[in-house]
Amino acid sequence: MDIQRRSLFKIAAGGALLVTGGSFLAKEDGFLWNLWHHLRYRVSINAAPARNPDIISKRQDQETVLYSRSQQSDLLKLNPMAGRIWEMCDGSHRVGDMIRSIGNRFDVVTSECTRDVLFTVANLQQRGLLHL
Amino acid sequence: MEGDFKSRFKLPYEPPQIFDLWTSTAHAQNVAAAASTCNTGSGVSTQCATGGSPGQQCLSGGTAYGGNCQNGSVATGVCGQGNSPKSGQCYSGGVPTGDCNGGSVAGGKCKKGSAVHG
Repeated sequence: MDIQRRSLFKIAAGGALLVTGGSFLAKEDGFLWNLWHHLRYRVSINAAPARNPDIISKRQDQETVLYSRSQQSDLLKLNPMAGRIWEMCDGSHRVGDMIRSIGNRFDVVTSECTRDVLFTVANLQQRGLLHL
Repeated sequence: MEGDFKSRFKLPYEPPQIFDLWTSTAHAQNVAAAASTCNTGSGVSTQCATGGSPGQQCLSGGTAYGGNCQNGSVATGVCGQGNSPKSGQCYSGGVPTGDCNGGSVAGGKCKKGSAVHG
């Protein structure tokens, strides 16, 4: 009887540990969460992207136009949110900081904000406009 | 309480968007032209006629190579300007792709506004 009780206690303790550990790893900004986004977008949450010095940004109304000095032409137009992300890419803000900054200021859930910021950074990085 | 106050006064969120000004129409979808880019109203590959844009997403009035066009656009093939192709599908006002002679009309499934061969 005593042995059975001990076994039950062990199972319960093991289960609790598993649930706690699992939720710790999988929670937003947890290890698995970061790993998943890193693999998906090839951009680390801890990366601090910096703008390519060849690119000049110009404001046109609410939008930001990216101009290449070497190609002497406008390359991209960014809407206000993409422009905000571009401005934060100064080499000192980490991607995680950008997500938090936007999440604190705008009415958006963290998962959506994370996806959008990572996608934007990855997109700009693939075009050679950002260095990670 | 503080969190509730914050969330109540958060600004509306608009997802980030990036518009490509370099390839203001579209990238070509065929292999030959895929590496190339074109500006609005201009064709990029040898298969693109003047005023056309390559690939799947051509603008109205443009000419595409091997893709789907919108109304008024012409899908390609080996047709010269003013010619109509032989097969394929086209939208209203457009002509489909294939082989054709100068001044000939298409032989495929054309909708209203297009000319059909035979």
